[in-house]
Formats: sequence, structure tokens, C-alpha cells
Amino acid sequence: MADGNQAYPTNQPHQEMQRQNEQPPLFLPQGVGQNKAPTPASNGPFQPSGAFHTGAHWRPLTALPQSSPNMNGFPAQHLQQSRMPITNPAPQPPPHVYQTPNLQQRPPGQVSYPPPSVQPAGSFMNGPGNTNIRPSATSNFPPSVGFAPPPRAGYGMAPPQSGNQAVGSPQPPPPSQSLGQPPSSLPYSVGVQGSAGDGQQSRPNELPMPFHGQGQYSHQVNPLQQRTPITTPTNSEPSSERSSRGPSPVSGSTIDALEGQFSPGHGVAKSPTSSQGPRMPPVATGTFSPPLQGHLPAQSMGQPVFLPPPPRPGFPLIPPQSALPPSQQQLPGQLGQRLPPPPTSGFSPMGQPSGPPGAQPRFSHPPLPSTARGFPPPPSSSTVPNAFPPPSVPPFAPPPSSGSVSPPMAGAGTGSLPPPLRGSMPGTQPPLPPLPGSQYSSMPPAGLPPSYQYGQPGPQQPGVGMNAVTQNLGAMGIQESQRVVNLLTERQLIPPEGIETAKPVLPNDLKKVNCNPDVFRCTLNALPQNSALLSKARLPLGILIHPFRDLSQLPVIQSSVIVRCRSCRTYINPFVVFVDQRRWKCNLCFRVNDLPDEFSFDPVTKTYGDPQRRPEVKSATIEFIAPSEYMLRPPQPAVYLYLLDVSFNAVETGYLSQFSQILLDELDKLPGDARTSIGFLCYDSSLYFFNLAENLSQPQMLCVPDLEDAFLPCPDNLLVNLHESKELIVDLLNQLPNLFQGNLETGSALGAALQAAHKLMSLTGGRITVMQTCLPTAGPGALQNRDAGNIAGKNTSIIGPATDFYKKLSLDCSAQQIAVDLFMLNGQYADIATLSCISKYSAGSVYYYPSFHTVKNPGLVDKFDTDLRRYLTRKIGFESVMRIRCTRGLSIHTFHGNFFVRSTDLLSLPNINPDAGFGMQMSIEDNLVDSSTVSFQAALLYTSSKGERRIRVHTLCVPVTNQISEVFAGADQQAIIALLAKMAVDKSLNSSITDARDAMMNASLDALVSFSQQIPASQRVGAFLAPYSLRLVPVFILAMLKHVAFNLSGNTKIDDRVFAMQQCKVLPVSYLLQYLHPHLYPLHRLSDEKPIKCGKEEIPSAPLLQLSSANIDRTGLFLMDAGEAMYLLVGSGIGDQMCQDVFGKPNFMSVPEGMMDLPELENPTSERIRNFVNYLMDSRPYGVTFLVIRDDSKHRQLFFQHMLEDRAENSMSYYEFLQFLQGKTKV
Amino acid sequence: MAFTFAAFCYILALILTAVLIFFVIFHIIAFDELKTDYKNPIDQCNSLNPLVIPEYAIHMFFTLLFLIALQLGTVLFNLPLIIYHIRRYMNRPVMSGMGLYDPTSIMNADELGRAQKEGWVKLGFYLISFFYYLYSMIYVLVSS
Repeated sequence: MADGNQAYPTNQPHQEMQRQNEQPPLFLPQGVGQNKAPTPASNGPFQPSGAFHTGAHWRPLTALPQSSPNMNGFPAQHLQQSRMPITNPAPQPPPHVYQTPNLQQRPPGQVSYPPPSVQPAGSFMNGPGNTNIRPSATSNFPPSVGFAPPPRAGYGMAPPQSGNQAVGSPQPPPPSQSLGQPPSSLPYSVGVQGSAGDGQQSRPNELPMPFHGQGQYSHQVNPLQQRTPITTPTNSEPSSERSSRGPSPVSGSTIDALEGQFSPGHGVAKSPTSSQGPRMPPVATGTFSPPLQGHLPAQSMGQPVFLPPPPRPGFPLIPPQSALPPSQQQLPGQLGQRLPPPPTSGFSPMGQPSGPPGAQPRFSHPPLPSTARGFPPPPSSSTVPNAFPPPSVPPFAPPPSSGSVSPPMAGAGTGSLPPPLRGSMPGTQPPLPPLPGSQYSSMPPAGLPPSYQYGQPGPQQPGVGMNAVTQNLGAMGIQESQRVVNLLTERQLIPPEGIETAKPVLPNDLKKVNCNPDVFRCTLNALPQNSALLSKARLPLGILIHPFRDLSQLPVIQSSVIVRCRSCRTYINPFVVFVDQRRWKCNLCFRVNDLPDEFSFDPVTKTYGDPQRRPEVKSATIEFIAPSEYMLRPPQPAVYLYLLDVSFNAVETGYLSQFSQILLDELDKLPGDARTSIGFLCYDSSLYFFNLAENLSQPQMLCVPDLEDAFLPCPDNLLVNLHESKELIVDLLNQLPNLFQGNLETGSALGAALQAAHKLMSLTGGRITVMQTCLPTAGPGALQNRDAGNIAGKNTSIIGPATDFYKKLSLDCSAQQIAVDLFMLNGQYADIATLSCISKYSAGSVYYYPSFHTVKNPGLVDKFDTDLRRYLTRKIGFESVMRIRCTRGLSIHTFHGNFFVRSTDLLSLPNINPDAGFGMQMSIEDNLVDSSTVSFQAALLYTSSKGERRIRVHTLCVPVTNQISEVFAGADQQAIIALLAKMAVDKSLNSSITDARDAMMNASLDALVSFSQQIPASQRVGAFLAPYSLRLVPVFILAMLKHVAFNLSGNTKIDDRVFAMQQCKVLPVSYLLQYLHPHLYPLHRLSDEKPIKCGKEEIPSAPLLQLSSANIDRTGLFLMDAGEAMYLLVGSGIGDQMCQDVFGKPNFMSVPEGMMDLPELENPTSERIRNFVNYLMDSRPYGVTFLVIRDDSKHRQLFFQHMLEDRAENSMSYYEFLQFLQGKTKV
Repeated sequence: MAFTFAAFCYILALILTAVLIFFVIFHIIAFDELKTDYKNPIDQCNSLNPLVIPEYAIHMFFTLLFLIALQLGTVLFNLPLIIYHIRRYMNRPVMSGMGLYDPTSIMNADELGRAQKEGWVKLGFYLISFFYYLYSMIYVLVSS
């Protein structure tokens, strides 16, 4: 605080400072000035809350969650949130603060660390809260979303808390703590910060950090999750977090020296906690509290914060009393290996406790939680599967170890998929004996430390049934991974539970910590040691990242010191090696760095302890609240500008009324703070600006017909503060649909409108949303209709841009931190290839609704509605950059996605959204002999919609091998396909689609041939062999060849094709795979055997079928889930009872054509089917069109075109394709 | 010994080749800067793109002079590079201005590697031609 005080004694000073700073360089009077003006006010409201939490610094990010619903009233929210902790029945873990030495001042007990008992709770609390899973406080999800933030939050939190609290304790009153801390911290922080400064992105800047207290950000939960009841609850917790956060910022917490405030990152933990409370009460409480007390008071407090968020979750829960399972104790050894482990960390509250395994897992942090959670601890360390069974091992005999390992559960996201676990890493270092280290000793219960690694002490939670299943699967997976598959004879390649997710085989302690594969994955989970081996294996090497994915659990740290390698600027992460207590060795450049004292300071004991209990070292995914060194200018406010096409064509589609209505509904949920600005610009062949100045009685429309030199009429009032001019905005949105009714102007001056928008926003940056319904034909950027019919793979220029106008404009936007998102609603050719450039280089997103019409095409209307609501309310990060670092010897070859590459490893992302995925091809430049593992680290620096600068860091660790067999066994076929799809798009653009198809086939062929060369010739005869890990590659390649993006069909519309290519570039792996290779479920075979856990509900599941007509029978109901569309095929032999139950019709013949919804009938069959379908729909961040197709319908092709393994007019069946490939191998 | 038009061409080519060598070195340095993160690709492309056409023009210009001077051997020597230049320029990314380098794709390792390789090869070529012109100039001066 001192710093803060010094710089900005009070909030007000802060504000002033801001203004001063702003005005001169960065912000111009125009829009900005206005925006900013509000700032002070905004802060004002927060301040109170700030007081509360400030001290804590920790803002439990989690708190946020609830906010989502309320979005509007920030102040109110904050207050609520802030208080929430207090009020909660359960002891709240008030803000957990990790105090730095400076902070020490506060009475440890009081402030930072609630009594030990509290801590646990706190941790949990934090966990949830901190995580902020907020369903996006700001972002808000569609109402539909399951979680009711506030209430749930309470719920979620409470349980966990209760558990913990019960144990302990006293809840520390957050407020007091917070207050006390801030001041102390500040001074400290200053000094520290300097050291910590991040070189790359920002320079030290004058501006104070986040002055905006508001800034609480909660992390949004995955969209999916959010919707799913399960997740939501977890998320909800955030409230506390939010509150805590809010305050801190205000008070200038930003500067706080406090090292760490973390929210408990582990989603797992949280969920568990909540559940635990009830379920495993004793344990949780006991465990936590003790450790906390002894060791890390701070942690305890912060548990949330500190605690090992992700990884070790399991550990935490164990109550001291509850003896750790033997296994755990043993574990220490393992831990020791890694680091002297400080089990101290004991805090891992997170993990295990976990409540309902099912629910949480989905979103939870990736790796950690999952592992921790469900499984009973392996009996002993030894049990841990160390070694792989030799390849030869019979596929199924599960190694004993496997049983113990049951990580699969974790697979949070995947839920169903068991990750194949592999035993040990070859490279692992010999385990170090656990250090008697002070910390350890200090630890109260001896058991704790171990537990932390393993996490779950054993008790499985109730409801773990699924876990058991997954465990088995996991075991199978291990063995399976070594299996050789003869593709010609083995037809059942897709497990009914879904395709397994490959994970790197790391030593167990690291494995648990590793980044969630849904967030970050590498195509090869065993990296070849040198490029020769890589080229021998002929597999593509790359990483796929979904950096801003909504996470249910995310540790957030506010610290004055962000520990980074001095040479390569890597953030400290779980995979570094601690040389001793004061030094750590960077895992990317191998430099040995000093550890700042603050990093190991334990505020509770006022001693310096084990650095390993820090959340940074316990979680591979973590978020820092950045100090001012990371800012080049004050964090920008959320600024949204909507460009609406109002030409004849646009009015005709009727989208305006739908858009206006949705925006009206969601206006209060737009992510942002009190400074949020909004503006509208309509265009046909003229530009229509809207003056929304506060003092007007109604919106004023200003028409600018001059397109060539578009000027901004009254530039100050075109972008207005959302809260101050709300009435005018509502008024405008109400009028908008009628305003242009009957407009006969057909021209569309998109180019000029974008130029004007760029001018308008260039002072602040922000987001431009474009609704375009036709080819732009007027003014600058006008395009010609290039659609000369079909492209048969030869003519590539038509899938590339026609002009670089949009690209240049896009780069200009990018430089001003403006992103452009494009909604294409065109019925006719609109040259998406050219227009999408505006989004491609400004990190925007593109949505496409071919032939959108509110009346004639109702199927798309729902999808548009869902998409737009999600789009408007999802979390957003502004002025962001992402840097990818990797271990020395690797380098990034090519980037895929929407962004501008600013330097060899830095992506400029004016906006980042939770649905954007990125891919990077890597190359091996030097032999990777320095270490047994390599790491990739993605650091995303962004400004939250609350005006906070944050850094989200993901670290992925992958073992290195010199055995080609291990390279194959570790291949991740899903990631490989996703990367190949991206590469194929580039190939299509640079060369031709035909070449891209050949390249794809060759890629799969090369890999399989290379593999089979490793197999003795005697076994190869007459077989087409693939490693188990790559068995689906031919299927997926065939799917890509038949996909609209790459097929050679003459019927494909160019816009469809270009959009599909664009999707290949930006979709995260799991969505991309579904987009390429749809899922087929027999709905008549829904079973309760392996239910999908969704919150409290259990949803029946259906086996996943391969896309072959052989799997279709006349008497069934089949659901084709193609990502953006679902088709329900009604077999002609379907029973009348089924028809009656599902459709409410007496028989097959009376099922109407073109049903786009399932009737809600009161019978179990209908409910089960609807539950399942709704679950699928909710599990993706975008809308779905749904269509019921009768077997005798003329639309049947819509369904059967996705039967990729069948022969189609000019494409091969799967079997033919295999033979074709095999034929090529012999040539 | 007489100062023929051919000799004049060689002298001129000598000077212009020296200029081209500077151009190429500038390219190489610029791409190296990109590779090592010193420069923003947009700035770098903006500074490189205006140099592309002048380089091609200079090269074509003195080749044309050689043609006029009937130094067919020298023309043949330069012909491959001219053809390469023309092809390269025809296949450039879609751009409204002059130039070859697109800031959005130049950071692709393949593109960057190719540009750098091209720079080195051209540097070698120009150096060789520099000495070749020097030799030829003297030869023409002496022999005529």
C-alpha cells in the first residue's frame, strides 16, 4: 500500500493521476475523456468494498461469479460480494493474502490468515471464489446458464467453507484484514516490482497499476460448464473473490506488496470442497487447518491463493487426523524428486475433496484436479505406474499400477475420457528424499506433505462410481497405448465413451500438475530428442492452445513480485527445479535464478520457508494481477462499437429487430465496468452515426454520405458511457428496427464504415462488431463478385482475399488495440475470403449464418440468438498479447489462428475471447539433451473488462525421448489432426486445395509407414498397421477430405468453404474435431450405466458410434452432432410407442418434416432424450441448429453426408481409403 | 584501348551492382532483425517494400544496357535472375502497394527463411557479378 499511498495516497489521487496520464498521450479527449470521467465515480462505489478486501489482496477471484447475473450495478455487486464472505454462513475465507514480509505487520492471525481452520475454508473458498470462475461476472451467460451465480456461489462456497470452517474455524473477518494489509504492502511492493518487471510487453510505466478497484474479474466458467448445472455451482463461488478483489484494486491494492494473493485455483478443490463439506467433512477440515497453521499461515489464508491450486489438490483435503493413506506418505519420495517438496504446501485444499467428481471435473483445471480428485491415492508411490509395460505387453493386462492411477477422471473436461496414464517418466530425476526442511518439519501432520502430491487420500467420494469406470479405462489406456492396430481388420476404433485424450507421461507429481489438455496440448506427448528422430517419425510437431478458455478454477495471484527468469523471462512454474531454497533453475533456458525472499516468506510464521507451496509452483495454469510495469498505458475501458448493415438486403433479413432485442436483453451483462462505452454506426451507402450524448432527450442520427473521406460528426458523443446514456441507448435500440424499415438503398459501404469506426476507437481500442448481410459495394473497400461458380480445387485465388484493403485496415486496428468481429448474415456470395481479413489480423472472430432470414430460415435464428447472447456476454480481454516460450532447442515455426504476429514468439491480440484457439507448429533446432523434459509456456497479458491488467500463464511439460516407439506411443492423434487441418488451410491458400489434400494424405501415410517400419516385417504382411495412439488418423484424414473445407465437390459454396477453413484455423481442438468428424449417438439406446454427471443430475449417456451406415438401423433414433448443427434421424421402422413418446405423434408417417425442436412431453423417454440433447447443446460455446429428419425425407442427405465412412459420389469409403493408402505404401 | 559503349556499360553496372549489394545487405540485416525480435514486422515491411522495385529496376536496367551493347554473355548471365524476379513479383501476396513482403505472413518461419536465403544467394550473385563486371570492363577496355 505504501507504494500506492505514495503514488496515490488515496483512491482519489489515483484517479487524478490517471486522468493526467491519460489525457496527454494516450487518451484523447474525445471518446476517451468521456469514458474516463466516469472512472472516479466508478471507483467510488467500489471503494467501500475495497476497504474490505483490500487488505486481503487476495481477491478471491471466485467471488465474481455471481456478478454475472447482476452485471449492471457494479457497486452493488461489489458490495455484495465483498460482504459475501462475511455473511456467508460458512466462514469465509476472507481474502487470503499472502503477505510479503512487509505485510507482516498485520497480525498474522487476524489479517492474513484466519485461523488455521479458517484457512482451509478460505482456501476452498478462495478456490471457488478466486477462481473466479465466474461465469463471467461480466460476461454473463445467457440466462439459460445453469448457475445461478449468486445463490450458487453462496452454495458452492459455503459447503467448502463449511467443511473447512467447521474445522476451524474462526473466520477471519475479511475486512479487517484487508484494510490492514494494503498499506503495509505498498511500500514493499514498489521495490519489488521493479525487479519483477516484465521486460517484454511492457515497460515500466508511469501509470499506477490498476487503479480500478472494480476490476474484479472472475474467470468465467466454461461456457459449457456454466450451462451445465454442475459447473455452475462451483463457479458461483466467486462472489467472495470478487469482493475481495474489488476492494483491493480500489485501495490501490494493485501496488500491494502482498505477494500473493491467490485464489485457490483449483477448480477441483472447490467443487470438492463444496461437496466435501458434506461428504468428507472431517477430512477436509482437519487437513487443511493443520497444515496451514503450522506452515503457511499465509497459505492457509490464501489457500485459496496459494495453495496449490491445481496440482496437488488431493493433498489438501486430507485432514490431519485422517491419516494419510500410506501411499501418500510414501509419496513424499516422489515429491522429493521434483522438489524438495514442500509438502508444506499442504494446502492443497483444492483437490481432492472434491465434491461430485463428475461435475467439477469438467471444467476444472486440467490436469490437476482431475487426478487428484477422484482417485484413491495410489497405494504407494511404488504403485505408481512407473514404467510402461513394454509394448509387447498384452493390451489389456493392466499393470497393477494402472489401477492405482486413476487419473482419468480428472480429465475434467472430457469427463468420460480416461487419459491413458503412463507410468513413469524415464527422465525423472531420482527422487530426492524429502527434505527435512524446515517447512516440512513445521508441517503439523506429517502426512500432509505426501498427500499433497497425491492428493486424494483415499477416500473416494461418494458418487465416484464413474471414477472407478474411468480408472479402469485409464488402465486400459495405458496398455492400449502400446498396442498395434491393424487398421484393415479392426473396425471398432472409436471407444463408445469417446476418444481418449492423450496426456504426456510424466512422473506422477508432475503429471498432476501439468496443464489441462483442453487448454494446452502438444501433438507429441513424448518429444523426439532431435530433429532427425522427428523426421524419422514423420509426425507434425506443434502445440495447440486455448488460452482464454473459461476455467472453473483458476488461481489468481496478486503479488508485488512476479518471479521470472532473468534471462528468458519465463514465469516460474511447477516444472522448474529448485536448486536450493534460494535459487531455482529455469526449465526453459536452464539459467539458475535467485528466488526473491518474498517468494518463500511465510506470513504466518514470519519465516522463510519452502517456495514450493506457492501457487505458482503448484499450478500449471495461473493468473497474475499485473503490476504497473506491465502497462504501457492505463488499462483501457471496455469499448464496444456496433456496425450495422441497414441496406435493403439487411432490412429484408429482419436481423435488426433480433439484434436489437438481444442487445437490449444483454445490455446489462456486457462485460465492463463503470467506464464501459458503447456506440452504434449504421451504414448502407451512407454512414449513419448516432449522437447519444447524455443531455439529449433522444438519440440523434447523423448521416454522412461522403464515403471517401468519412469524417466523424461530433466525435465526442458517438461513443458514450453505457451507464450514463443508458436511456438513450435503450431508446435507440427500440427504434432501430423501424428506423430503416423500407430502406431501398442496396449499396453497402462496409469499408468506409470500418474506417470511421477505426477513427472513432483509435484512442481507446476496444471491440467492433460488424453485422454484414451482403457484398460491400460502395466506397472504399468495395468488392466485386468473384464467384465464378465452383472451385474444383485449382483456383486458389478465390479462397484468398481479393484486396488487401481489409487486411491493412485490420493491421491498423490491431495497432490501436481494436478487434473486429464479423457476423456474416449473407444469403448470396459476400466474399468472406476478403472480408474475414478484417477479423483475422485483429484477433476477432467470424460468425457465419448462410441465408439468414428471420422468417424463412428459422433454424438459424435460434443459433444466431444463442451465439449473439454468448458473444455479448462472454468474458473478454482487451489490449492483450500472448507470448509463447519454449525450452531452448525448440522454436516456433508457424502460427495459426486469428492474430497478428509481432515478433517470433509474440502474438498481438487486440481482444482475446474465451472461444479462440491457436496452433503453433514447432521445429526442433537443437538436440534436446539438456533435460528429460521440455516445457512450453504461454503467457497471455490482457486487460480485463474491469480494467485490471492480468497475466494468464499456462505451462505444459512434455517428456523427451530418444526412442521412436515412445514418440509414436505418445502421439496425440486429436492434436495432430487439428494441427494438420490448420496446415492444410495454409496449403490451400498458398498452393491449392488439391495440394492440401495430397499433403494431408501424405502426412498420415508417412507417419503410418514410418511406424510400420519399426515393426518386424513378418508381422506387417498383409496388414496396415498403426499404433493405437494414431489409429484414428486415417478416419480423421478421410473426414477432412470430405469436409466442406477441403472437398472437391462442385457444389460447395465458396463462402461456406472459406468459413470452414477459417474455423479450422481458430477452433479449439475438441470443437474442431467434432466439426470435422461429427459424433453419432443412437438415442434409442440411452443408458444409465455410465451416466454423465451434470450437477446433481445424472444424464443418461449413449455410446458413440462410428460414422458408418452400418451402424444405422431402421428402428432407431440417431443423433448426428456436427458441432454447429444436429440432425436427428428417425428410422422408418421406429416403433409407434417411441414416436408417441418422443415426438407426440402416433407413428412414423406423422412425424412432421422439418421439426426444429423436440416437444416437451411428460414421459421418461422424452425427458431422457431431451436431457441428453440439451446436455450436448450446452456443452459448447456456440449455438446449434437442430433438425429432425425422417428417414424418407428429402433432407436425408443432410444427415447422411456426415456418414464419413461410407462411400459417396466421388469419395472413397473408409475401407477403400485404407486400401488406397496401403497401395501407396507399396509403391 | 578505347572507351566503348560496352566499357561504359560495365562501368555503370559496376557501380550499380555495388548499390545492389548494399540493398541486399540491407535486406539481410532487416530479416535478421525480424528474426531476433528487434523490429516490428509492419515497420520492417514498410521499409523493405519500397526497395524491391528499385532493385529489380536497376538490375533490369543494366541488363538492358548490356543487351544494347551486345554483351550477350553477360545478358545470359543475368537472365535467370530477371526471370526469378518477375516470377517472384507475380506470385507476391495480394497487396495494393509495391513490394513483396506482407507483414502478416513474413513472420512465418518458412517465409522468413526463404527471404533470408534469397538475400544470401543474391548477395553472392551480386558479388560475383561485381568482379565479373570489373574483369569484363578491363577486358573490354584492353582488348578494344
